[in-house]
Amino acid sequence: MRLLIVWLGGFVLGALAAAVTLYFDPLAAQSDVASEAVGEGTQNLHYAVGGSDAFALTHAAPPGLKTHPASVPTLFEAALAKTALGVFLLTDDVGVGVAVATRISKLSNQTNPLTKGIVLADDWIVSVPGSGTYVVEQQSNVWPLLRDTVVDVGLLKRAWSDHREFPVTIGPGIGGQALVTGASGIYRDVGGTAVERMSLDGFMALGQLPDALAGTLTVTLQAPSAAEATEPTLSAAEDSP
Amino acid sequence: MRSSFVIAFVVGFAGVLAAAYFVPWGAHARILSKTSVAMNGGREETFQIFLPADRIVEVADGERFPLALDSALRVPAELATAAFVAEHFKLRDIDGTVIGLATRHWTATPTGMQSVWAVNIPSRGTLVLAAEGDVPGQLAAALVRTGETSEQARAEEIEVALARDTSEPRVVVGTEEFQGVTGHYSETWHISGLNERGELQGTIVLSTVVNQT
Repeated sequence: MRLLIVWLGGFVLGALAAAVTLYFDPLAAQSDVASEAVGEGTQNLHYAVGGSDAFALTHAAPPGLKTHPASVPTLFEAALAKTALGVFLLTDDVGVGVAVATRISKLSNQTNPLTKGIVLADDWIVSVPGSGTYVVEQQSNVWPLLRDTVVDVGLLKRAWSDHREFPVTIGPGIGGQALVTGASGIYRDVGGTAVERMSLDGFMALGQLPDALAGTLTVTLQAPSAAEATEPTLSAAEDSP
Repeated sequence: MRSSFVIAFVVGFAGVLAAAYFVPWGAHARILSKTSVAMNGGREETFQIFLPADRIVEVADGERFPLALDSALRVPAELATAAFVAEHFKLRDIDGTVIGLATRHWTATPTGMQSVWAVNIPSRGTLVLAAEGDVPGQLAAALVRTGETSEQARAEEIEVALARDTSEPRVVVGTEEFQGVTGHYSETWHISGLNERGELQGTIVLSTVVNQT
């Protein structure tokens, strides 16, 4: 009996030590904010997950996670169980609406809590009425966001009130940036990169998710010739000394 | 006793880390792909969208898009200067099983209306398709020709081919299993009527042919 208690105690303490390791996640992919390209052709596109700027948000609707508007169907089918769909108004730095975006996010098969974090595969379809459409392919590590909200506030009841930003983009482009591909209109043959950061102004209760969440997608577009000239290729990387 | 404790600690520590590392957290339910080999090469696959059951949400400029649903969310005034519709659907395979999501943005551009589809299948990746042409206009005209804009439901089905060779329907880009593919697609609406809320009833059929490059 005493041996069993010792075994159980050792196992539980070992598991807790592993959980603490995963909490701080030292091996996980970190978003490299320094790689964010800012210059000509760069635009900050701001969005809110909730509020009047958010058209819709739906997912498999696990308990406690809201969808909106009320009439939107949930993604209850087995094939969509780890997928979310958001439709947002994108505004510029002064708050004027400049585009409408659809964001489809799914839990990525790259997810590995030990080495990469909780990785989402995001597809953004961004349309500027009158101009055209481009798409953004992104991988994002949302573990730091989940840790500060679901774990710290939801489980550990440690609310916080400061402004926190969460740079989430970790790929799939070289340098950890998202990839932009032009699809129609004036964007048809453009390429580019993007990075995204999410933010919260304090977090008091789990019920604030997802409405309290806001984000900025910083997109850098390159004209076709520039994109071709600067696009890093695997063969070019292999050829370099 | 101490060695038992240490061994149990290591087992607990390693067990949790092993679970974190080896469990396929990002795996999605995968439905068998209904693909076939195209006659002139490539892989052919047909997707369906049942209307109105599969519609998730629509965001539209109602002034310029006469088919906008009453329930459509409206774009703000600063964006209502050009025609725009964003539609979102659940996506089915040829057997009618929901396998993913489909998003279509119809946008006015300097060269006319253009549409972009994003076909997202969580277990396989995303395929982005685009076509030129006044797609909403073609659809509205076809409905007007057949009297479909009246509130009376039609007895027979009408077929509207929207993305055809003349509108240069093409694969723009793909991710994951669709990465690096090229190809083309066609889009056909089989419309059987309007329901009491004025929503189209029918099926959108997307037929894709892709080649791995």
